Amino acid sequence: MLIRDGMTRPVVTVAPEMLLPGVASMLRDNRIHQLPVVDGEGVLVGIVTDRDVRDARAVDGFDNRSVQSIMTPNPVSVRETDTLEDALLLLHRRRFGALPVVDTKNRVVGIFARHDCLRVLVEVLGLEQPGSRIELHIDKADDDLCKAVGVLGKLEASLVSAVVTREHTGEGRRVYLRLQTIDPTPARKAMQRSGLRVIEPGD
Amino acid sequence: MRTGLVYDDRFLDHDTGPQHPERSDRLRAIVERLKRDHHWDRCLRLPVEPALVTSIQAVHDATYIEHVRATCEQGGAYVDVQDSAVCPVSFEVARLAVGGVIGAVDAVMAGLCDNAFCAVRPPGHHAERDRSMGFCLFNNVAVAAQHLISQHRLGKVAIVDFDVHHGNGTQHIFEARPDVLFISLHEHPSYLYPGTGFSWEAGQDRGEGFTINIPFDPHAGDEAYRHAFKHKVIPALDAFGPDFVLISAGFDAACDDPLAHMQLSTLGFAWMTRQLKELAERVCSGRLVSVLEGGYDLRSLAECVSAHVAVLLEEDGHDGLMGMKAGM
Repeated sequence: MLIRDGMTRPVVTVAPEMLLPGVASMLRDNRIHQLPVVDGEGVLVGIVTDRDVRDARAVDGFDNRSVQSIMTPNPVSVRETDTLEDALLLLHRRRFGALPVVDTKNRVVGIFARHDCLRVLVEVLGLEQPGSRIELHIDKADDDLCKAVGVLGKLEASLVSAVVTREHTGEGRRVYLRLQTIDPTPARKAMQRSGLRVIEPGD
Repeated sequence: MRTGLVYDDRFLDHDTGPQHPERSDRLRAIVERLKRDHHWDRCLRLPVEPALVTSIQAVHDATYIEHVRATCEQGGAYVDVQDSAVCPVSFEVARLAVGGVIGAVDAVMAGLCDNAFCAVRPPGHHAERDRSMGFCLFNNVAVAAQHLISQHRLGKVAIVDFDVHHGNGTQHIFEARPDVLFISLHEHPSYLYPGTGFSWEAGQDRGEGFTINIPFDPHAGDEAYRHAFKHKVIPALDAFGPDFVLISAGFDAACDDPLAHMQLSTLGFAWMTRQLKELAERVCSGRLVSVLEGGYDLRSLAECVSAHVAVLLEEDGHDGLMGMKAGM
């Protein structure tokens, strides 16, 4: 998945000359925490957060200062064609609240915030699609995964999502499958017959 | 009590295939057991007429109803999802199921019987306004609730859904309304289809507070259900004060059910039934109609339905099932 598939757009932006009281109400009215600052061509020049605005007010109240006096200039941004992995890692490692998303001419086309990560996660896991979960423990990652996929293929089961993660201890992997059915029993049984370890709910 | 019974051999004609969990044998097992336990003859058999499309339209989109009709008549194998297998007559059988439940609430409102059980299929509580899910074509209980409100002019209807799966369709149809209280008890959505019914799903807009979801961890049993009834279900119903109680009666929280992981006993189902019956007697002259949803282990399904109907038949003082009372 690319960032353009998971970002929020259209995005609210401000001009560098905007005064702080206006910026504060934009943040409040739109219930957002970050605002990209763009020039007349829509090119990214900075970012300002609700915290920046709060701090400015705490120090010397709201005077007639403009946003460019308190924004972070030339902020870290991502391109809409970068992968979601890029955005996830940046938000995680650098602890940003949000990343402006730009096109090839550095014009702001969207924003990717922490809550966008949550939406992407819900989508990737298929949590809003009706389905039943099957959890597997596998030892030999490649062989066992092939087996599991083979079972699903034979059953013509409709797969909503599949996630493979490393176990916290040991070499094994956990596989979380979500099937579009009220009755996962045939799939569960077929996996057990082919030697896969199916984790029962509540185990 | 005069208990009405909705059943029709035509419900068997909805052919989902011999391996399908929701198959005709479920009703055959129920009928056989009700006869063996001598409940069958004590019930008043109610006539079953197909519901008018306009009645179904009260909770389903016209385009969806037409989609179900066309899919069945053109020989489609399923509606929307593979779970919802159909045959050419399934549309007509689904109309009969809805019509049977409407007939049951009409009979109770007319005083022909005090309460009723509807042994119908296909089931209904997963059916959304515009699509089929989980074996369900039309939302039988939702159509009946809407019928009570618009045709019988009742102000408040309560729906208690103890099927082990969350009643997503019923919830979504009524979640923005304060005149239908929907309470669903089910296995936790992380572990069981359809993946909705978290406790924080509590209604929307004017319906906020009129949806109550009570999820249980896998392997919960009588004790957990009893606790939930005492502390949540019955107090909420008493506070709401419904004019009619509908039950989405699925029996797949039973120990042996192949589709879920709960441990509710037959006595547990009987106990819940008695709680709801007594509540209905307390607040709405006993007006209660129970509608079959799931339950896929034939033996335990038949046994639990029989115990359920036995409680509905009981006179005050529980002559029919004295032993059951001691169970919980």
